[in-house]
Amino acid sequence: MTSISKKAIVIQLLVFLLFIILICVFGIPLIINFLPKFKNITLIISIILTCILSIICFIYPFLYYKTYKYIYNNKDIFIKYGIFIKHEVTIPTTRLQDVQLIAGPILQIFNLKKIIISTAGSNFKINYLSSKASKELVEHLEDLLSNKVENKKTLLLEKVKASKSSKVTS
Amino acid sequence: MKNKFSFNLVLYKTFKKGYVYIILFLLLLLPDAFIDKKSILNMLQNILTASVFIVLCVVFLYNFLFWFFSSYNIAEEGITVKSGLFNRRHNYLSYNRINTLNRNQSFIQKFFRLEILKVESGSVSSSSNNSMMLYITTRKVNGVIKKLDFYTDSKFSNVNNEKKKKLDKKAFIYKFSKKEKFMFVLLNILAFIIFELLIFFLIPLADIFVYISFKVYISGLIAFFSITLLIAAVLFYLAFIKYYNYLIFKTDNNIIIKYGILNSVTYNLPFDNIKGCRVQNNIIYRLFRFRIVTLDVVGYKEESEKFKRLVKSGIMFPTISLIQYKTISNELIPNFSTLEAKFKSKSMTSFFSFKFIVLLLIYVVSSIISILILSFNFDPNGVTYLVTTSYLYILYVVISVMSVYLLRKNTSINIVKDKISLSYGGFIKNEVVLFKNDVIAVNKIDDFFKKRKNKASFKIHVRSNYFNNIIYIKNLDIKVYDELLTILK
Repeated sequence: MTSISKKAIVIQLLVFLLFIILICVFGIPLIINFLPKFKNITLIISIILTCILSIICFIYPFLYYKTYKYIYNNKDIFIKYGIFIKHEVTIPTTRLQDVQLIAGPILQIFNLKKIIISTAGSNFKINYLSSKASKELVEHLEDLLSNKVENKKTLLLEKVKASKSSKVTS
Repeated sequence: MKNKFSFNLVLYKTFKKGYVYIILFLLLLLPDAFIDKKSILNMLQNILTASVFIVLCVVFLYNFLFWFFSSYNIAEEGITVKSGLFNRRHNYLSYNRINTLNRNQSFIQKFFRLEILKVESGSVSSSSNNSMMLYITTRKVNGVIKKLDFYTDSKFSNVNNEKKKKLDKKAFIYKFSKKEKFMFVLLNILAFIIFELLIFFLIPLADIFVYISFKVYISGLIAFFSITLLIAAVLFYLAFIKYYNYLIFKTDNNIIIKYGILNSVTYNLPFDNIKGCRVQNNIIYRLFRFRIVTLDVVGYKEESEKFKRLVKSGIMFPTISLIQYKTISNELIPNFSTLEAKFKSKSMTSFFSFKFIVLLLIYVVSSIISILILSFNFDPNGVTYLVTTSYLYILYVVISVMSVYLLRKNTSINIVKDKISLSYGGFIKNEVVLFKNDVIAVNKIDDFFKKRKNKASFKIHVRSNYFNNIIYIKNLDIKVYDELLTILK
């Protein structure tokens, strides 16, 4: 099983850090001003809660990285994720429709990519892939897709030929 | 050769987008006896009239240009539609990708002698359009269908024949009868009435009048029952106007569904395009042994123009009795009869959500604390508060336990040669039958507790023509996962 890029931990830590800073700078003073009578109790409770939240935010990216795994071969793509609730997704390559490669501003800074695999029913995504890994996966899926299209084309051509010949004979 | 849409499209679109301005313009044109002709008010009225007229002209011009730059072409290889003014769209669909043709004519369109012919490919991918719309007159629609019929080896011959009323009107297989229409209204409204009775006649037991006056209680009662009446009116509209003369015909290759008085709709559904069948029944429907049946067919869906994403699967039987459904379904859709359950969920505890357990714990702890406080310092208001909250909690617990019991009872799966039969849902039970080929992916969801009991939940992604294409079944044996994986291989 292949893991996602380790940079995912850094990105998530940075986002959570920004979130904690925002809580400390704006959230806590706002609550204290809102309840001036219980200033001390509110301050203690909000500090405790912020500490708990910070610990969770610090641990979460590592657990996310450790649990997010994927593997692919010619037959199917398998994605596994989830910390408490585990998800396992199996997508057969025969059901593939198109593959999208997306990189937002943050992912671009860290030279990472997000892949969206579209089927006729739903879309599935693999986050935080290094450009090398994403390129390999996309090339692999593109090969499979082009093979699928060519197979379909030949089948269609055969069908058309068969129907034309049957019309001529009739 | 390029063909233009009907010019009536310009008038129809101008009316549809600018009817508010038209009404306002006509109102402003009316002479007002109270306004002095030389006053500023009169001048303002004139300016307003002129601006409304200009807006109307702009709307008309936009629609005219839209019509002028739009065209369609039926070539040997496929159909092309060019449309749009600022965002130019050039859509091409080859004949082998056309799945269904649907004719649609609304009440307003009838006035403008305009008809919409929807050419559906059945794709749900965001990158490609799933339907092309041709705005043409009824006469031209027949011609276009004839041409498409020629290029697709008589795939859509029935679409024309049906519109010309060549189909024998007495040869229908199913008719949404008056009795069923009344049952449709009654069964859908009954749940609301029971809920209201439960709330309003049990509330006095909780001594709620300490907090609210009797007047507020009565006005709440009236408000709730007015909402029920409103819902009943909507249901009556659906049953007697939207589904007016609801008939289902069967031809050699297609199922034809026809209904409507204001919006006359005709669906022509080839048997090959039927992907699945969903039988839905809530607790009241089950009590009276009635069902709602929807079909998942490429190109058969109900969608609103404003909310494109709210796409529903097409309804087949709005309300049908169980006995009638069994006989008709054998004739119409024999491949989609529900199978007996093979894997059933045995554990009931695993259905209880984490939220339910937390809320129950909070209630138990807070009640114990309240009783302790009240035993030391008696307060009648405190007792009333405790009784009120207990009443609500007990109601919540009873409903949750009932829901969980029904969930466990209803959840099952059976996989046979080429089909999967799924059953899920608590108060609203769903029975779905699908072809194995239409299963796209399988998502297994488990946690520590489920793993210990060898259970897992599954999300089954299905190829379908509407967006709710994930079936979520909870707490089944882990063996089911292996069976589901074999489908994908």
